Amino acid sequence: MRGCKLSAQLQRNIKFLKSIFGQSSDFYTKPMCLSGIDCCVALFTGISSPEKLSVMALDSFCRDGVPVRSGPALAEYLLKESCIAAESNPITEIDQLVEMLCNGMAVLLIEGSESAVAFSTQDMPQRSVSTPAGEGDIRGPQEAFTELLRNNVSLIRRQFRTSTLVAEIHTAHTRAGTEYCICYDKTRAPAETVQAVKKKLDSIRIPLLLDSSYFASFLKQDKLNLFPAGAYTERPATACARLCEGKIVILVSGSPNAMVVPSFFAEHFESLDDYASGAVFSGMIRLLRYLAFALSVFGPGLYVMAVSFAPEVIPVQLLAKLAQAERTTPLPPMLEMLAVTLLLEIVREAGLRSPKSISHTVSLVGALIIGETAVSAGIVSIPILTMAAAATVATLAVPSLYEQSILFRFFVILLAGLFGIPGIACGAVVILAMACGSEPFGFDYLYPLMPPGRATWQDGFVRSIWSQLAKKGEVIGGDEA
Amino acid sequence: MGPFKAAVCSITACVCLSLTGCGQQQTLAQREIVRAVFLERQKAECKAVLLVEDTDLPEGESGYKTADGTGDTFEKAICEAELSLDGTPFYGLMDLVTMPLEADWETVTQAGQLLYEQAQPAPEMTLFLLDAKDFPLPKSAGELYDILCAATKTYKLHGGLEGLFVQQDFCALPVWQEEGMGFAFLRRGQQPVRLDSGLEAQLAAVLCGQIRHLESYYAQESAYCAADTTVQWDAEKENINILLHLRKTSLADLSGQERPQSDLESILETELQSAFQRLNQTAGDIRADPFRLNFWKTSVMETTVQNPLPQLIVEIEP
Amino acid sequence: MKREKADLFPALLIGLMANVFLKGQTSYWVRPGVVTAPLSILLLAMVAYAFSCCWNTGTQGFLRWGFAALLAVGSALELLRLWQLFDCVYANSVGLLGVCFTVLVPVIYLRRVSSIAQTSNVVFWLLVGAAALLLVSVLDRLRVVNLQTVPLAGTTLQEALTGQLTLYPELLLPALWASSRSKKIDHPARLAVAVVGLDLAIHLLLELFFGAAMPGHDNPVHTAAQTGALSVFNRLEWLQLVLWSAAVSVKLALYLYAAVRLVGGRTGTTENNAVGLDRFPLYFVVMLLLCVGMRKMDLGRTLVWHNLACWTFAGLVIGKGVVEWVLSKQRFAR
Repeated sequence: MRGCKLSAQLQRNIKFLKSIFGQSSDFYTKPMCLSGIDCCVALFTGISSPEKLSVMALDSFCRDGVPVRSGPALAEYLLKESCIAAESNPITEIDQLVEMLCNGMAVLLIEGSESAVAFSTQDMPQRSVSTPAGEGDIRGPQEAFTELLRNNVSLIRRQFRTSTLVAEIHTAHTRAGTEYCICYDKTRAPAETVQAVKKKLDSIRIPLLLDSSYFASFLKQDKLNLFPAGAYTERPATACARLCEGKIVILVSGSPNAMVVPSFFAEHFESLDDYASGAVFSGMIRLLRYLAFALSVFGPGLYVMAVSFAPEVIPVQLLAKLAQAERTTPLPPMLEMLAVTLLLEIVREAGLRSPKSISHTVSLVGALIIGETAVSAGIVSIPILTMAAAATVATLAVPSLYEQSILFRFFVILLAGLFGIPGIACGAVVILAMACGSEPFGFDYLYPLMPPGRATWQDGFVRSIWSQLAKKGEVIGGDEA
Repeated sequence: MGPFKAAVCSITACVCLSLTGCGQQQTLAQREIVRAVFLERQKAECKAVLLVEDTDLPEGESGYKTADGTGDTFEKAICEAELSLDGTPFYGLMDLVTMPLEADWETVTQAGQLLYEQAQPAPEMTLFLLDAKDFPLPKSAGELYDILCAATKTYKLHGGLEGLFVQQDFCALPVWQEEGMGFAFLRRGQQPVRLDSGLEAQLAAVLCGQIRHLESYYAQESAYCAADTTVQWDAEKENINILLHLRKTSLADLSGQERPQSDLESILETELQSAFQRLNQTAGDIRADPFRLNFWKTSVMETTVQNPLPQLIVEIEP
Repeated sequence: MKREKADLFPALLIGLMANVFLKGQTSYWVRPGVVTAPLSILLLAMVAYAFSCCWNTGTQGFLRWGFAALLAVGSALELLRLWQLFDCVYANSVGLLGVCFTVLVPVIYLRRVSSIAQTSNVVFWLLVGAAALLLVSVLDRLRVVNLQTVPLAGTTLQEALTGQLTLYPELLLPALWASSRSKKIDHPARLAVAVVGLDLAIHLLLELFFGAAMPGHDNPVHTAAQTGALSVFNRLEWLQLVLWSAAVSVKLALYLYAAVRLVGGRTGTTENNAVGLDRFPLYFVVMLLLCVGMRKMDLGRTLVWHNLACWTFAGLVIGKGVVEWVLSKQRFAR
């Protein structure tokens, strides 16, 4: 089928289409006659609107008539001369025809012409633009991406109203032929990075592409590295901000999450509110997020290390209480911490996956069972539960690194419980080496945090005032562009 | 076997091997948290009393328990005491050690070395020479511990285990008796010199850098002073001046005569000067250098000056 | 932003810092140490520079293997030194295999040169911060009068010179990758200043803290760190231990990279690795065997022998280089 040309015989084309799609009840064909020339409209009724087609083209045909006498002339007229809003490129190949139909276009097949004409009559049921569910920001635009690719592109273009925005739509090599869009600012994004991303994405062969994160594994340089290859956002505003930094935004049809590459470690600790609030407050909150991440990853491990190997770290008044609490529970501190952390994750997962009608019950049961009953029964101790809960809450301060926090936390608890201080050191160096060793498209993953420089204090650990930021905003391609 | 499989097998083997040598941590419940060690000598026998935090008490209560042992040496006595504990002794939070009042330099340094090797505690603990007849052990160990901790805070005591060894043949330690805090000079091969509680002992402790708060009766207990202290050394080519600053000084007249402040200050200064002279004399008698004058003499002063007399300059600030 | 050419200088500095912080015992008094420091710096820098020049004039296989062996033994000694420190401080809590595992596993993630360079940047600044924290926490306990007024006699000066003239492999490693003449001079000089300066500074801190008792202490830096207190935070030495372990991991990664360069290991082409992932099982086995084999040895004496071996090796390379230079001059003259 690949590379096969359309036949000049209308019936042959219709027969071919019916042989592929005939079993689908949403496949619609309507033979008709335009200026005495036999034609046929083909579309999928679920994703294309016959009414739109009527309004766009057919009514005009019937009203004004078409001053041609042959099929090829009709095709030529529709493509180049008519005011009717047809696609400007003719369809000449079978797989192109199939692609257009699957993308919701209506296609007009013409007797005697080896070209077909497509009309953009997409009318898919879609979710309206709503507020982002996964990113909590108080200020700034409250729009979120939807599942429709072209809607998402338009949302970006609404914010980014310059001629420098490029949005290239490609089809991924998947069974479903899913489309994706690469957006970048052609004056800011480094050309070699754009080319590298395009080449990489084009080389990916996967059976299914339901979200932009499916690309992540292919974009990662080191498969042993657990840090994400890209950052994700539901907000067009955030995507625009990243475009202004010279980054590339990848949108996938059917997914409301845009992927931003190359992504840096510091981005996970930034939010839109940082730039809307004052510099001092934003700086404090950003430092708090770094602290929260450190607490969520190392807090439980440090606790296990302290009680098991180095109790001298703990103030003596607290130590006596911890010893009393430990005496009442059956498990050693490491296992207890792992069990409580695991339980908290189970409760979180259950709350996430359960139907909305019973998610409240899940939360109640989880809180009662773990918070109240397990402690009263002496299965877990209050200090361990407190530390695990604090770490879990701290994880939510940096939601984009949630998966990494959980994995690292388990890893550090295990190492600290088995090896003590060298275990903590091992965990810390491994995590640091993962972050330092990451090179997304040749850029430093720890930029601008390390090595310390002007950018570290301008928009890294803290943020300087807008008048300073506006003087020289950091662009990843600033040296090369 | 491909290289990747070989790598996985090797790493797995390593992990298994490594896990055989780990996980030997102890839970808190298994540890006996030693807060203080009291070393005593009763005739020829050595006695050690370990004061341990009692974690078996109900929630909300705190207290201590003791474990004691005797032996020919302090090492054996400590071992005996450890054996009588249920769990493993943990010395990481130990902050007080007392030694017998009559201990000489050799005994004290041996005990210090023993603690370094056996207990491996943090060196930041407080050491006292204790007059045990006033405080029968182990019965009053808990109470004594609280008293000595309070004294450490009151006098801002900064001793440390390392303080026993900073000089090769000499160390100075605070003494605790029923009357309060005294001081002792211990020199290798010499009898210990004890300074009874009072202004002289505290002045010695201040000048040795071990305390930073002075609180004592003076003028035959007709006056009382309390002050924070700082000491500055001013070594010149021919003499050494020791500047003793008394800050936040509070002087109280207990005689009922309502003497003016300036009189109290001058009496205090006079007594400090005479105490200083006596201390110098005592140090000279045992050929010790508690105030580290040799350092200044060697580093700053002219070599022709043989035995410079240090001068004490007292500044009293209210 | 774009990752520049990896600079391994911070990694070399970390290696030297780890050597100084983890020293089992002090070796000289500060007063003679200050007197001998300029001479030590000069000697070390000259030897390192000469080694660097002579190394590149066609080194033979046995010299490469010799250098790699020195690095391997050095790595094992570092592991053993760390294990002994942990065993001393936290007796029976973690075995030799546990220490090897926790120090060697991070080396997998440090197999790329850029990774070593960037991680060492971070660890270097953390070590500097921790050292400052250590100083601030024990400041209260430092006494100027604890400084010992030892005479500047032959024995004390000799002790100081011997203690300072330790030829660490970090001083020789720049020979493997220094391309320009200026770097050949610059790196050894800076490293020599850094190691002698840091060693002297630590000796000064320890003498201010311990006074006359300084020579008798095992793991003196750790013992001093144990007394450190900042406000309500007591016993901060665990933080030092964590960072020292991290420094040893970075050091071992650097040694491994250097060894692979010397003996020509296969690198992965797709990931720009310095050391291929498939080399790690062999590396782990070799390290474990060396550690198990050497654990009963007297570590202090073994380190002295290792130092002598480094000096001998450097002498051999320099001697060979000098001979080759003389011969080439003669050939040119003819």
